Amino acid sequence: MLSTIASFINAAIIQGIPLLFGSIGEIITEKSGNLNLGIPGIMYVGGISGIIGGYIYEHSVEKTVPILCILVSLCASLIGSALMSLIYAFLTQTLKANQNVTGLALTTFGVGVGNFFGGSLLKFFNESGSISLLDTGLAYKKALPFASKLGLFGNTFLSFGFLAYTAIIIAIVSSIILNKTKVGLNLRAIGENPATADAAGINVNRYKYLSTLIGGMIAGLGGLYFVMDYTAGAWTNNGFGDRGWLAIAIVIFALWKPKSAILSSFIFGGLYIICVYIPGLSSSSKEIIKMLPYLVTIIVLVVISARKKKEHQPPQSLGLTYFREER
Amino acid sequence: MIPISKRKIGTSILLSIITFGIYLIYWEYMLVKNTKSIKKDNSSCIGEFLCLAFVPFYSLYWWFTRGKQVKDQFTINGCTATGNETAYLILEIFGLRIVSIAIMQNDFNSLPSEIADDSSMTREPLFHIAKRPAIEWWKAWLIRGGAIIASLIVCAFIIVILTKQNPLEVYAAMVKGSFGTPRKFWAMLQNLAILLCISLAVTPAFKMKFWNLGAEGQVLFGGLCSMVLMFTVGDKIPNWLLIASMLAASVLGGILWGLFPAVLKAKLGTNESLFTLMMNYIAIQLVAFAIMVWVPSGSSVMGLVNSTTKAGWLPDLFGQKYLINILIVAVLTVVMFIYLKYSKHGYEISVVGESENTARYIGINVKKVIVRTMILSGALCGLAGFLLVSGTNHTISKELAGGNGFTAIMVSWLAKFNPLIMVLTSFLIAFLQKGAGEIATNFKLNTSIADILTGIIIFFIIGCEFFINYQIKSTKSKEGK
Amino acid sequence: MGSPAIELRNITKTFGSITANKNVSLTVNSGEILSLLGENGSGKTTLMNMISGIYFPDAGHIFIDGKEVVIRSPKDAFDYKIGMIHQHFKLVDIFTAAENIVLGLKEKGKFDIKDIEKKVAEISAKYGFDIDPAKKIYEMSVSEKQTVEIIKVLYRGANILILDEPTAVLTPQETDKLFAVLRKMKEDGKAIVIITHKLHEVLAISDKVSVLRKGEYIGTVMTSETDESQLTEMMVGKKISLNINREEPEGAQDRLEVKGIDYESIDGVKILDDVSFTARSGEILGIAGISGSGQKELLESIAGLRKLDGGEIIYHNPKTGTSDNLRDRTPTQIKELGVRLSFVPEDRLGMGLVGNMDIIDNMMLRSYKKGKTAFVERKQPRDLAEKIISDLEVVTPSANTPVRRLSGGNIQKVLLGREIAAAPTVLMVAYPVRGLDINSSYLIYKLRNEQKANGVSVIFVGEDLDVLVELCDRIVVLSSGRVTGIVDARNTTKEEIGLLMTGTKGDSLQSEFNQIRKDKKI
Repeated sequence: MLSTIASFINAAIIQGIPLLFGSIGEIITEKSGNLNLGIPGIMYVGGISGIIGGYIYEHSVEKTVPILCILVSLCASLIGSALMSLIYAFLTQTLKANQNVTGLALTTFGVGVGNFFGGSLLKFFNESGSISLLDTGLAYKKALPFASKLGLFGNTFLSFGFLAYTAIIIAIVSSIILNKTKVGLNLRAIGENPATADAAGINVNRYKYLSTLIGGMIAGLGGLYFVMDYTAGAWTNNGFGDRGWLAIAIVIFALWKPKSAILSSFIFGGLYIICVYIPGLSSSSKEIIKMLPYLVTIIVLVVISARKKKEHQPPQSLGLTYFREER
Repeated sequence: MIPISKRKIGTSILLSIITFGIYLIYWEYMLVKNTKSIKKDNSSCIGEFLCLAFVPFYSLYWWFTRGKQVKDQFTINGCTATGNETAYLILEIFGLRIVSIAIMQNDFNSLPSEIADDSSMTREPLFHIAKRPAIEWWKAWLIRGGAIIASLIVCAFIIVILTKQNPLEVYAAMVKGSFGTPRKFWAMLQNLAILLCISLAVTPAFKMKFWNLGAEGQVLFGGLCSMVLMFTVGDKIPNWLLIASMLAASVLGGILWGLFPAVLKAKLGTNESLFTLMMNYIAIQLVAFAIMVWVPSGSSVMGLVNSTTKAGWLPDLFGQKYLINILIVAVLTVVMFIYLKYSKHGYEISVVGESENTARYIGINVKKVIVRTMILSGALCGLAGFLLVSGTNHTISKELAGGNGFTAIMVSWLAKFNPLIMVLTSFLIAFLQKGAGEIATNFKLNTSIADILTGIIIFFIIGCEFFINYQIKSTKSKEGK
Repeated sequence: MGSPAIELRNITKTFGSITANKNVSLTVNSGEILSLLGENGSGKTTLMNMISGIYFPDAGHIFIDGKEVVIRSPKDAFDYKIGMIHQHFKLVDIFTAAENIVLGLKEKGKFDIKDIEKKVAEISAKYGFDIDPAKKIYEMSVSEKQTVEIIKVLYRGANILILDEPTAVLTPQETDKLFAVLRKMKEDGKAIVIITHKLHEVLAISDKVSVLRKGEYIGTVMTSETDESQLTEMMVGKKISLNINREEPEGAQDRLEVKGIDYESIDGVKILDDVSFTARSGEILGIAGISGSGQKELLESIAGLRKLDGGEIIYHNPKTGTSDNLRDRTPTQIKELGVRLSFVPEDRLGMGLVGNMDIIDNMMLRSYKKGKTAFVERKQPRDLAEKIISDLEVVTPSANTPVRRLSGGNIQKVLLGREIAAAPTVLMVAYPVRGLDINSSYLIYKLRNEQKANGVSVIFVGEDLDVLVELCDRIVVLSSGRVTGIVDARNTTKEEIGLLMTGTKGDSLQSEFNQIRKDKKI
């Protein structure tokens, strides 16, 4: 029984990590007032870029070095998601396009890029079969050396690859930056009231660009974690599924707080797979259980709109384009 | 005051690396300008800069002499320069120009603000963006047309890189994918019809500025309602009654799915875009649930339903399987166009979308309009679900809507909410998807290339709206400097 | 008295065809409080916005401490130690006072909110503010918010403070507190500019007064050497004759009776307080008052757009002879009662018209429900649009042009034309000539006179006292949501109305007690 619970917690965390990356990225973006619905696409691109980087590296050397496996794929992933975020930022900030439409187009585009390269990468190199980067996957999956010695506790909480810990560190760091530093204060002010921030001498455009960029890159790591750690370097088309949208749901569930996003992600990760762990469930009722995360999000959304507590609302200018001369 | 451009060295080097040297060229140009301004020489420095860039060995001479001049000028102004002409020369010989640039910039940065004025360089933006008061419609369409052409060029470029084929051949393949055989043509028309139907469905809500991102779920749930009847009472009631009740069930299902967020939006102001988004996944899970219940083997794929009796299948018309679908959507397009343009409801939708204040001023019940319009929107999504289940697939899967719920939003947006133009925009998307599919099979690539191309074209079209709504003015000419 | 802290020379600013400031020059010394006095629309705020970096002047020079400067952005203004407290506060609601105060500051060092709160407390102690730095803005009263704005500029080390209508949102007690603080700052050597149009406050606080009228600089006088009547004259100018005939109303009957209506905003602020008057047929009833005294809410209440907290609005129907209470009825219900009420709101494109729709569709706003079919009828609106375009000389490429593209005067003609075409029995117009050139203004006055001659009861909210006095039959004066007087326009002067507006005449004591925050458009 205990071991079932432990393995459930372990699985919930593993499921939660990509969601955590995605939601932290989206929180940082939304804090600047940009509702980036392109996050699901960005996460796909983050994953596939890592795969491409790792693949090229693994195929260009005789013997791979784990640290280089990680570095190459990590950089590739970051560049991929950064480029995606730049498309979004350029269209919505510089060209003042509608954020919803841009985000949806970005998701279409990003999922397309992911599946296209996932499905065609081997053909470009005249190979067949499916993508599987064993060495890179292993490098990412390497757990803390002492984890297995700590018995059940170690296996439950410390058996993850380094990206999992990175996610939690990023969440904590972004919480500190958002709440305790001037940069965070300025960023939140922009999301709430860009005209006020502008009048206070803050460079609204630069902050919006940077937060979208950084947020996108963090979200992209979620895709990377999924393909490298979770699936151990293998790519299946649409394998990432709807996790990107779930990440956006977590942002609401966590009330735009990075720290709450940690636990929320693990809860959602748990809800995502809880059906496997409840004994005696028919396969059909499993599908009903999988509905839970979305139902919970809707309930949270309705409750916060009914309670109207100021701290729990989305940033006030979320989704709106700011143009100084229109004030 | 000497106008001197100051910049942070670390950032500049980083920018130079990120931009693969493009920023370095700009930086170097500004530095050449600085060496002229410090001599109080206001003449153009483009010639000098070009010589420096293209004339061999001139750079050695330039760095040596300018290094000396800058040093002397600093002394005249009572400052000291760390840079030294010999050092510059040696660095240049060893190809370390970026170090020289950094040193010289550092010197310029050290100039006190009483001597060097940075403001004229950095503070004044080169351009000023202002809202355009009005633009002739033909100019607007010219810009949009230009954007589509530009996007097609970019798409061609990408396809050529991926396939290494003549772009014309690629485009020919794309045309073949949509028009090559009658079967392909009908399939394309069918895709177009479904996409157009969902686009028509989301349009009234969008026109009202209600962000319904849940068309996907509304279609799916509508389809599910049809399927329930088709599966359970398929052979027990007359076919016409079955089809009629399926239609009714789908429409009601779509309405139900749209009604929740609409009512809460009207009552509590709940964010509708996130709400409708979540409703999609509830619908998906319901479908998955239903399949699990219906398919005994436990497979997640449901085969054709009633494949022998064809109960609940929309009949072929003139031997064409999809003709009924297409006709229904065609009629719907015209009806929706009339509804939006000529009906009282359509007029109210426009007023609410443009200004809720005005709507209240003339006595429109805004909440009622929101709910009513979402009922319409949901009903049409449900209809699309019915057409997919009864008229097209005769089965159901989680991918029934196939992302069309999201694509429809873009189709509607691109057409500026005009149903007739939507025929064109959804044709563009349907053509692209079929064409890209053809390329994918011909060149053994993945069919997702269609999504990439769709994304690119939409990026271009939404980006070009900027040039329709805004104009870029030069600050310099405005202030008369 | 110190040296000149800030000096403006020949500042000119135009917005399109409207000149907001024309050759304005003025000087403020350090350790001095200057009142910038003028009616609404006289260009006071525009002038000060140029000092604080919101607008850039078209011509003229600004000197700070004797040196010429160029102020391009709010940041530049901060650098020159200029701080402006806007009428519409620029604060982030969910932040605390301290967070708002340091927002956007680029000082080095750690961000320590405790440290900041300490500094804020120091400033508060120095000038006698009473503020909790850890309190959230949305929990604050208006005067607290204003205090935060003032501390914000002081925290940035401002030596020149500009306050735009600071007392407009304060109670008399809060005003006294503010003035005490301002006096302390003055002793501290700061230069202070107060934008206002309340004469008694000008006399109470300032050292000298500069007056603007219609964008032009009229003059500066020392407060000690002037009085209310001189300032009023400077502010409103010499009597200008409009040469519009004013007929005696014929057979005037009571048409609309407003009985003691009360209205509170969502935040519980009293905006209309026991307002009563009667509008008669065939006469023009003017409504005068400082902007934000409740005019907008009054008209919107009559039109059925606001839910009142008390009182009645009785309409005497000339056709049926019945009387109906319009309170708590929606615009549609009012229409169904057979009340022919037309309303030209202040916000033309935001409420009266839809900017992106063409003239024909805007005509339909009033009439689209006509007819039994589900479809709108465009034939009549088109004819009406063509008629208005030719009758009122609307300059437009065609009736199919979106109204957003028309000029202000033409937009107003379209709106007024539509409202008059409904053959109203009551016509309400708010600031009909704001932003209009002289010719358009005259046409609009003429139209209104025609309506009066047709027996329509016209309610006219205006800001130009000259026009009100010349055009109206009677004038209701509002001050802070209360009626301070109803005067016969033929036997009054604009000075008298001006005094009623500022609440310094009549039952002034009573009015000051009731002068509770009016317009809370913060």
